[in-house]
Amino acid sequence: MIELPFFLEVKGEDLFGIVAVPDESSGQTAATLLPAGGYTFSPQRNGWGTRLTRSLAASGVAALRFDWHGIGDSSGRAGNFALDQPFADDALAVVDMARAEGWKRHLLVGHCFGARTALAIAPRVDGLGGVALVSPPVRDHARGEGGANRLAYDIGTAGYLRTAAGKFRWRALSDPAERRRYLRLARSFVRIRLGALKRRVQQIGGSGVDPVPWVSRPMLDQLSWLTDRGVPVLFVYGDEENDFAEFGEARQGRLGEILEKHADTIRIEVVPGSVHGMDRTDTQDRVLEVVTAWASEVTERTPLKFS
Amino acid sequence: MRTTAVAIRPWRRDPTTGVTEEAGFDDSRFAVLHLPTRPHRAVVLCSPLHAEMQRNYRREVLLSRRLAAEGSAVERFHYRGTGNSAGGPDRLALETMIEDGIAAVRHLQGRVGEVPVAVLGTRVGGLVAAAVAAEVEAAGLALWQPLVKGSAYMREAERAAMARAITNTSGERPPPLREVLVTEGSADVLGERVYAALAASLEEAQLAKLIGEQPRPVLLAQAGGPDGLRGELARLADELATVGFAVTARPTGDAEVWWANPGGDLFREEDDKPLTVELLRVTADWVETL
Repeated sequence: MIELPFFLEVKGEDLFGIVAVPDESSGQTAATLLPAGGYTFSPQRNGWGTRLTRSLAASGVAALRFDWHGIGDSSGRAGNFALDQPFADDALAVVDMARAEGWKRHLLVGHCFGARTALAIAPRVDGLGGVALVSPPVRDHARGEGGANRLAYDIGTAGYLRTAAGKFRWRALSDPAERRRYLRLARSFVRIRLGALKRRVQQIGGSGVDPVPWVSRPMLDQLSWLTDRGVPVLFVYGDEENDFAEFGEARQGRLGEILEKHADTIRIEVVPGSVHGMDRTDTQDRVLEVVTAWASEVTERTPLKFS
Repeated sequence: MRTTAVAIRPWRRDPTTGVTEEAGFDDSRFAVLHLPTRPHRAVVLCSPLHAEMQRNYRREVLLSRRLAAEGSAVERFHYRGTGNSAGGPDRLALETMIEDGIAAVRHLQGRVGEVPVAVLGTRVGGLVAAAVAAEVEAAGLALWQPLVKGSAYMREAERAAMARAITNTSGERPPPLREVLVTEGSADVLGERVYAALAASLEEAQLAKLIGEQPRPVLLAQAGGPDGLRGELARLADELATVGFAVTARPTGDAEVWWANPGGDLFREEDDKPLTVELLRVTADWVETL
């Protein structure tokens, strides 16, 4: 295996990444690791990102890790990480570069925000061979605002406003970033409550009620798109994380139907710990094993398709 | 069959400063060089480790870009066994880190020739930077919140793990780190694997000894405590000044939680953080004086 660093221009900024190339030159498959949203560089905690891409390369799959714009060695500013606003341009540019270098089949391996980005770009990836979703959140919210999102659904307007008043800090208004955050939370709250009102009206009108209205509709549409085309999908969650609990609840709705209908192409793996935080090394190791084994399997199983 | 050769671009040029950044491997050591058109100084950065490396990483990238824009050639590197570098993390030790730092200085000197050199180290990287600077005639030494004693690193790691355990639902306290390192050879500290070889190599390390006897310019930056350097750092500054080192002490306003996972300042870009702005400014100003 050799590793080759690269810079790649995307919309005026340079993304930094490294491609791990297997010794076997006949390999046709490349996997791109789409990192979680946040201010951590592509090797990630305890070198998890580095180890995963090297492990994939050792199994014969070329693997790319990279920093989002504004993160690690890339240039620019990251801005806000919102799950419904994935960094599609960054991800597609890396995938396109791999394709231009000769890897015709592509696997996407996304972690949290990266998983949601993988789902969002999947329809635009030629030769897509599979998508591994490592702890994908099933809600839409900005980074660090999952708790506020849950409250907006769960406790109603009065409770939400009481909680918000308790957490509000006048001093924070002097900080432009905090002001923007408050504004985002307010907008998100209004959107969620209007949605609830709409559902109540539909219910009165006799329409069916979605038992889990907070589940991201774009995410479900994207997952449907993949599974309808027979693209293998791997979900990996940790048994100690909130995202897994929410994934379980979300199965009461449309997600459950999709999973049931496509049980032959969707695999769900649950490992000990929190995959979202990767805050235990045994969790990291287990995820690495699961993803590497899945990548080898789908690479062998799925015939190379060209679109 | 894959037919095209890999021909990807391992460099970038900043359109506003004209600085070129080159990424690559020097043997198994991953490094990024920031090269201005006519460098008149060379600066090598020695990172901290584990969670502290992640926390400081973008700050080091921004510092390198700023210094390069102001005429310094800069080399950042990952110690073997960490980040993008090759090598087993179980072999990482203070000695291998110092070897990597010296190799980085030689590598950068090979690119830019004989210009004044400065070495910057953060936290445990401060111990590395001190030892590296001692090997380079008249090199300046910049230290961001350095560890004065190597043994403090494992103590702080253990304290951070204990603090996390308090918030765990299980309420289980982790066993003493030293004990685990002896019996297992490594330990999981907040999702970072720490090996016995590193712990052993840090046990007796002292900044005052590693820095050598040859007086040189030293910048001591302390995160937090705007009223002056505190405790061990204040004593170190006095000690060095007494034996002829030109010490510049720069306490900064904001404190930093080092041995914790990045994410404290969740909504802030690194270049918006007051501590980062201040550290970059005081370091760039100090480098100008060399």
